[in-house]
Amino acid sequence: MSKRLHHPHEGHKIKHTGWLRAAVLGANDGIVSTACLMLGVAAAASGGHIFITGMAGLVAGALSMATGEYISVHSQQDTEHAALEEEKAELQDDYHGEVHELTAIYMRRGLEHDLAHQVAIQLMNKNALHAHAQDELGIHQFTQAKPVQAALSSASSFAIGAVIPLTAALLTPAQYAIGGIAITALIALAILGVLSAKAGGAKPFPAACRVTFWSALAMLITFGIGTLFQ
Amino acid sequence: MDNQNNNTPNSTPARLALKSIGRLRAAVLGANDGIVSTTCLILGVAASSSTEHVVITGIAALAAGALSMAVGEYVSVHSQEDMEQAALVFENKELHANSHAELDELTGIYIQRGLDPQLARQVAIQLTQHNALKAHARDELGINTVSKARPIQAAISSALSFSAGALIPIIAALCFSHYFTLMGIACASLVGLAILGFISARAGGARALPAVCRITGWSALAMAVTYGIGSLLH
Repeated sequence: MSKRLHHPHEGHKIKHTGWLRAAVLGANDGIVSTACLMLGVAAAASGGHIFITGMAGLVAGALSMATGEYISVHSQQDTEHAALEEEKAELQDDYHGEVHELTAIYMRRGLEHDLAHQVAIQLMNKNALHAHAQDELGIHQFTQAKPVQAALSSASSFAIGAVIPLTAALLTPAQYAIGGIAITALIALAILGVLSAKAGGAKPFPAACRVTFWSALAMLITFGIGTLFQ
Repeated sequence: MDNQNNNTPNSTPARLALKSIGRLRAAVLGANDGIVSTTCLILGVAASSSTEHVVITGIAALAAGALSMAVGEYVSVHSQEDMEQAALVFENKELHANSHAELDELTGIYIQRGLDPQLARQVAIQLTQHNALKAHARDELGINTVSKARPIQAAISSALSFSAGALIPIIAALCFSHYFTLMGIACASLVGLAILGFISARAGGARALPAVCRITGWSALAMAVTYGIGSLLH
């Protein structure tokens, strides 16, 4: 384990990707959906309610993100829990069968039979449920979900994202509102793409291109649908 | 519950659910989001201005939300892939440059998991011989190669599930007459959410009632809050 100290980056970034992923997804969603919504309504109803719609979009989106994230993380927890309970019951009913199962898993990973058997016995001596959770079910401790934390972080990242096109709508003169909203949103998305790629150790340029291109397309389509209802 | 002596390891419902949990989670999240955000938005706008543009607002919300979900999901799955790829490339380089240290590291992981040092060493050696990168990816980074991400599939499925959810309040808005529009939309959405909660709990092998209560309770609160903020802007 001491080797970890020489490589502080290794195995580190990947562990907080869940967190980072949720935050990026939230902010992205905030920018894109609020901008799209305002553009769609602007195209359909000519000015007027753009800001109020955007405001309602911010609140609705943030709360919906929070609710959705809370519920989905909770249901993931429920499912993991149910699988662990099942595993626990199996360990009680048929300990030998479970030793065989773990042995088979390690043989598939490339160990010889005798060695795999010893591994299974020693791992299960330390913590049988833990060993099966990790090697059979793929539940690692660090992926264990926290519903309230997930809800709060995705709601706030959505709200932060949504504030950007809203501010653009407030600051640009009415006749340029549509262009102002779209351009501000796209610049913010490009910056977000670069930051998240950098943070994750990936290349920033393709990430920024991806997010701006697809978001621009989304805005165009919503605007187009809006014009149909004019 | 099935017969527990069944020897095939992946046969029980909870375990099958755990395998497909990513897909289930994305679909539930999408549909949920479609219902809640569209309903909240309609209620917020209706409270602040009038009920006249309810359907147009709803349709704009459907399009904006579905496309935003698709873009977000596509980008985020892609960026996750990029990160995993970057971590694997780094690990691969480490394995070539520093194979001894990497062997020590894998040994250390297995000692921590409860093997005695000698056995852990043997395990590390054999795992490395079989597939060094795979062993490190799994035991050190927590990447299971089975769960490969597919950006386009994820994007399309979450956009579809969002749209399916968003259609519920829009249809309700079309069906209910003037006086009952808002109540009708809210009720239809809560019923939709309850059904969704029930199905997803069942599919995930969890108990249905708490899931249904959770989903309807929090969503009703979200709707009330958006309506309240909308009335403030009135």
